Order: sequence, then structure tokens, then C-alpha cells
Amino acid sequence: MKMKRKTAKRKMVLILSVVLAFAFLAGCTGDGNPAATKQPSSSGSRNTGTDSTEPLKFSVTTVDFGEEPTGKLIQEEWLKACEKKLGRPLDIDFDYISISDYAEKLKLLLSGGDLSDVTSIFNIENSEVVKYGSQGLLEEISQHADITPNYQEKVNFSPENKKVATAPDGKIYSFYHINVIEKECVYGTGVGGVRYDILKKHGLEIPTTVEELTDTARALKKEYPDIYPIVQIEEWEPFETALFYSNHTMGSTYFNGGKYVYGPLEDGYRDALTVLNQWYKEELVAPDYFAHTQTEGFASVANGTAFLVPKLYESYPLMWSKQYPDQEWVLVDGFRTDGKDIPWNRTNVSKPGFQMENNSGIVVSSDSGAKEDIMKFLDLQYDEDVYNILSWGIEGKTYEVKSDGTKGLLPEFIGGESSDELISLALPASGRSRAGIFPTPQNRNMLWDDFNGPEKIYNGSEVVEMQVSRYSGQYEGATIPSYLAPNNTLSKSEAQDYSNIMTAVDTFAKEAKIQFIKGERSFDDWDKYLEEIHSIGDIEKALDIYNSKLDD
Amino acid sequence: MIYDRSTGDKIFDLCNNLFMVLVIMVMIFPMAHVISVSLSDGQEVTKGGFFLYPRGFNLVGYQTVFKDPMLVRSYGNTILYSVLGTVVTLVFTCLTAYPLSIKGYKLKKVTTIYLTITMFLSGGMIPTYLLIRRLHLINTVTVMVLPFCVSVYNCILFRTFFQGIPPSLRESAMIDGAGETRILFQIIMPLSKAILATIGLFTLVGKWNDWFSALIYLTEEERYPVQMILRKVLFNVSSLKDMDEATRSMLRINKVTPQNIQMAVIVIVILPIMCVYPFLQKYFVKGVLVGTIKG
Repeated sequence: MKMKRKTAKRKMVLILSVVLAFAFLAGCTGDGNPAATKQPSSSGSRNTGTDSTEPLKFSVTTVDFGEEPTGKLIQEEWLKACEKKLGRPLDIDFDYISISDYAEKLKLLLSGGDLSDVTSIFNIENSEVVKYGSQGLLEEISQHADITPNYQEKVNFSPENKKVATAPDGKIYSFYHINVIEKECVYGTGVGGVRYDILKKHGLEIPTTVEELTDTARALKKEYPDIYPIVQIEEWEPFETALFYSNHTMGSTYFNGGKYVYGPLEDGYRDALTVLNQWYKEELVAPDYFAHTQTEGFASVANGTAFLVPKLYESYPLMWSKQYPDQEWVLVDGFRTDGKDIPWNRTNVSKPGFQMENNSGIVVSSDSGAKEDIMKFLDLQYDEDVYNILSWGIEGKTYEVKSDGTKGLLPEFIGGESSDELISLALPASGRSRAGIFPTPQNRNMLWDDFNGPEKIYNGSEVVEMQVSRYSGQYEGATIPSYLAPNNTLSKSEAQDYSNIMTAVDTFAKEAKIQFIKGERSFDDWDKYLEEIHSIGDIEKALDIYNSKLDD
Repeated sequence: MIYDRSTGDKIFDLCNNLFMVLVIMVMIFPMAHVISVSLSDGQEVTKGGFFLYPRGFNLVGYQTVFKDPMLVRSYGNTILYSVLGTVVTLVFTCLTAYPLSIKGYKLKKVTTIYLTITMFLSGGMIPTYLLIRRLHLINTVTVMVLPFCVSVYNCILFRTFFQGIPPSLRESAMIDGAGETRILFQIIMPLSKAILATIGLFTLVGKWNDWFSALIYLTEEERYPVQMILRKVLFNVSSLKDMDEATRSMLRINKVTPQNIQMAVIVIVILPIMCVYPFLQKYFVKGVLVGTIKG
């Protein structure tokens, strides 16, 4: 009896082990290649007809910036223009995903191989696009050069565009975003802001140098002992950057116009920290400014305790002047350090033409049916007639053609006014509701010249009122060299090598920066600091990873 | 029995009470801040600071929120997913746990081991997503209710509880001709109200708060639960810190949802659970002991 039970037990264990093994094996399929295991998804490919009289049906996953453009005027006009050029109707199934969720969902869709026919790439590294493209998940656009002439024209417009668009393996996997530049423009973002009404009240001049800024802050501190006159508005626009720009350096690895260097090693960086230490000791800045975010920054503006902002987004002074009519804000075009050249205060030096950026784009699933027709459709986005609709909107409704033949926004929209109406029309520049498939080619002159309103800017002798882009073109400035850096994409192994060396170095540099600013570490120790930072990692080797790309 | 309390006892009671008051304040103040901000003027809120009472009292936040039809719909979705999910969880967990509680069930040991292995091993997010997709559950109500409805931990709790019910009840029911299903639903489950209420409440709260499943498996906003709407409302430019400058510039011109509206949405989302919880709290207390005491 016992023997029988033992035998039965062994048989049962054997049977269950086999069942368990089958259960595990059932989960294993293919060779792990997402393209190999990919199957048509519930939100993915739709049957697309190749007959030109049949509607071209496909699915699109794109970003919802707040309001879907479905049914709105510019969206309808865009679709009509595309249908006319394509010669067949369109039946597009849009899946709009909120901007707050897009990055996470996109990563999941890419990892799971569950893509729509067309997908917008937003807020993920271009190296991810290259990775999935090389794995076969994304259709290679360079293979369809004959049917994408408009896009190829933009890619081949300049060597920089070609570099931006092309992956390290020589292929193109995405329809990247382009800026359309009709006339040369220089744009300034290395700007600060001051409360002009407060300065006038106390008989103070608008500062233009770091030394004048410090003296003005001291004078205001005497008048308002409980207030910290120098304020940080946003955590990604720290006023430290204004001082680095003033000393022609930056806080990490950057392109200096000739090669990549590491800012925390430079004399200019030390000089900037010396000023910050001075501000900290004299309580001209809040002792916890390191932790301040936009919430604290905007609160200080609302409370009327923000007087001097060395670095800010250039449209904020105009926005604040409207929001708080008792406050008069004036932009200052960067703060020079005595004895040094003009501070770095210009970005986006743009020559007429097409400027390609690979921080966003549109990809086509390799699993999609009628890929060629979809490619032709996406190529239309780079056709002048089509992107003009997406940039300018509808003549008479959003823009007018001036006597000299140039386009301009209608007066009621200049300066970003009546933005609600632009949202209702789904003009992409409105930000919240964007016709087309993000990212749509954008006329930057319209955005910079017309859409941004005129600001009060101090030119060194008087306050003038004009758009920042127009001001930047008229007055001398110095380009932030990192904006002139060639757009080099590191491969995954190169990025990993760089990170392996520099993560610890950057962490040490940030900690040491705070110690120097707070006075916990003396500037007499600077040489020792340099020895320590060099001992953390081989910085030259890390910089060589970037500098070797300059020869490519 | 009346006894004299010493000075030490009184001092201890005083310190204890003070400590508890401090704990209560720590818990209540954030709630008071949220409710006060939701009832305050937007400009006052921008000025920052801690709110114990509304400044510039108005209901603009709530008016704006209730105008959004998506919120009402998502509320209905959340109630559906929570209630349905709780019922499904309880039914299937009972069905799984009951056989494991019967003495003499031949496959008890093997099944328990098989289930326990799944507590330590998991396929991960991507394989789970692929499985859900292949079962054609993407963007359905079922995906918010069915996956992970049977938790092995809950099964073990139920099993332990069922083992505490005298087996003589089952035996006498069988003698009277009752089948296993009848015994489970008409005898065992009525005696298991404590565990049902406890696990049911934990599940209800879990389903109510579940936004991650919606983020991963739902593609249409019409099916979103209210937590996804809350997430969308709470998204603001502060979270753009790690984005590149071009993206930030693009997004700066978007209107940021004012804080008073954000707080109004938070209040609306947590209100039902806050109202229900005090009435079911005693089951939580009982539930702490569930599975720990037998016999």
C-alpha cells in the first residue's frame, strides 16, 4: 500500500513537472527581437488601400498638448491640402495621448513593438529611435528616398542637417522636426530681468554688469532688509548660469567654439563662484536658493519680492507686467563682468533655410501596410504649401500678406494675444492645440517675430520696446558657443563610457560648487579642488569621446 | 475597578495625549492646506505659503472642474472598475482558497507550492503587456478588472481563515446533501464577513487608486479612471526640468493648470474614499488579526 502511494506520488510529481516545464516554454517565443515577435496590434496597423481612389487608411499616435485639433479649421484645411496633393482621400485614425503620459507610453509601445502606422517621437532620446530602428521596428526612410523628395531636400540642405538626421549606421529612421527660417535671425536667451519701478523709486540705474548688479542688490538690501533681492525663477534657469555666461564658461561639459571642455576646471568658473559666494555671504540671495523651483520663483514675483533676476525666460517680464500691472519689468541683455567681453547672450543664430533637430520626429512602423503611401503622405508635411498652413494658418483668419509680399500674423494675434482663438483654430504655434502630426515644421520667424510680443529691453542707455529676436539682430551680442556645436549623436557604448567617467565627476563638481558658494570651502583650496576632481575620473578621456566626433 | 493614578501615570497620559495631538496635526494640516487652496483665489495661491483657511474664498476651482464632462465620465469609470474589480477579486480568491482549506485535498501541497512560486517570480511589465495585448484586452473594461485579481497573498489569508471554520459544519452540510459550491457560498462565505470586508476594502481602495494599469493598457480617454484625469491636471511645467530647452520653450506657452483647480480635483478624487473609510475602519482593525489567530 505504501509502495503504491509512493509510486503514485512520484508519477504525480513527474506529470506536474512536465506541465510546469511546458508552461514556462509556452512563454518563450522567437529570438527576442521585437520585430520578429510583433503582431498586428489592436491600436496598430489598419488595412490601407493601394488603389488611389480608395481612402488611404492608417493610424497615428501623437501628442495631445491640451486640446485635440480634431474638427478644427486648420486641421481640416491641412487634411484637404494633403488629400489634394496626394490625389486620394485620407482616413486617419488619430490616437491622442496626453503630453503628461506620452513619454512613458511611447517607451512601452516601442519596447512592446506595439506601434501605430505612424507615431510621434517626443521627449525621448534620439538614441532610442536609432536603437529601435536598427532592430527593425521602424521603417528605414532612406530606403524610400525616391518617394520622399521634400524630406530629402531638407535633409540634404546642409551637412548639419544630414548629420542630425542620419544614425551612426548611416540610415534615417525618422522624419525629424525642421525649423523654417525665412530670414536670418539671432535670438537672445541669455537675458535677465529687473523691477524697473523699484529701481526708479530708489534712484537706482539699471545694472548691466555683474558689479553693478551686486551694488544694486546691496542698495536694495538696505532698503528691504528682509528681502533677498536676487531671485531664481526656475530650477532650470539658475542665476548661476548668468554668471557662467558672463565669464564665458558653463557648469559642465560644453563646446567652446573649438572643442569640448569641462567648465568646472576653468578660471571663469572659479570667478563666477567667487561672485556667488559674495552674494551668499551678504544675503543678497536666499540661503536655500539651491532648492528653489518655479513655485518659489513665481511666488516671489506674485508677492512683489523679486527685484533682480539674472537669468529668466525672455517672455516672462512681459507676462508679469500684464499679470501684475503695478510691476514694471525690463529685460537686461546679459550682465557683463568688468574687464571681460560681452557675456554669452545669443542662441539660435539661424541662417535662412531649414534647420533640422532630432529631439522630436515622426516614425513609421515597419509592420505597417502600404508603407510607401504613408511615406508619401508624411513627405507632404515638408511641402511648402502644407507647412505654411501649419505655421501661418489661414489667410484672412490668422495671417495677412503684406504689401511687400511677406506674411504676418493678423494684428489681433501679434504678441500672443487672443491665444484662445488660435487654440480654437488649432494653430500649432498656440501651443495647446496643434493641427497636423506633431512635430510639424515651424516657421521660426513667425514665432519669434510676431508671436512673441514686444518686450521692454534696456540697451545700455535707454529702455526700448521690441521683440527679443528683433533686438538681438540690432544690438551686438555674443553667441553661446554650445549652440554652435555640431549635432553629434553618441552611440550607446560611447554614451555609456562618457557616463561611467563623468557621473562621479559631475556629482563631485556640484557638491564642491555648493561648498564654495556657502563658504564651507575656501577659494585658496582651488588647486587642491582641481587635483581632487582630476583624481575622480579621467576627464580628458571623457572629453575625447566628444572631441573625436568633431573630426567626423 | 477604580484605582489611584500616580503622578507618573498622569504625566505619561499628558505626554501621550500631546504626542497624539501632534500626530493628528501632522496628518490634518496637509488636508487642510489642500482643501483651503481649492477654495482660494488663484492669485493668492501663486503667492505661496501654507493655507489653513481659504484666502479670497471662491468656488472657481470646483466650477471649472465640474464643467469638464471627462471628469464625470472618469468618475463613473472608476466606480465601475472599483466595484466590479472588488467583486471579481473576492469571488475568484474565495474559489481559489476554498479547496486549499479542505483537509484531505490531494493536490493541496502541490497547488500551494505552484502558487507560491508566482509570489517570487514575475514576467515583468513588457511581457505582461504583450500577454494582455495578445488576449485582446487592451482598452477594455476587463483589463482594469481581471488581471492580477487573484493575489496569492490574499488566497493564503482566505485559506487560513477558512481553516479556522469548524470542519464539522462542512461535514454536516454534506450529510444533508449540499454540494461544495453550496457549502462555499451558503455556509462558508456568510461566516467569512470579516475577511471579505477587509480584503474587499483593501481591494476597493487599491482599484480606486490604480492609475498605472490605465496608463499602460487604456488608450482612449473615455475609458480613463479619475486618477488619470488627476494626473493630467497635476502635470505642470515643473515636471519639465529634465526636458531639453527646445521642448521647454515649446511647452512654456501652454497654460498651466492653476493650483486651486489642481487641489479641487484632488479633493473630488479622494472624497468618496474619505467618506467610506471611517465606517469600515473597524474591519481594518479586525483584519489586522486575520490569519494570525486560529481556532
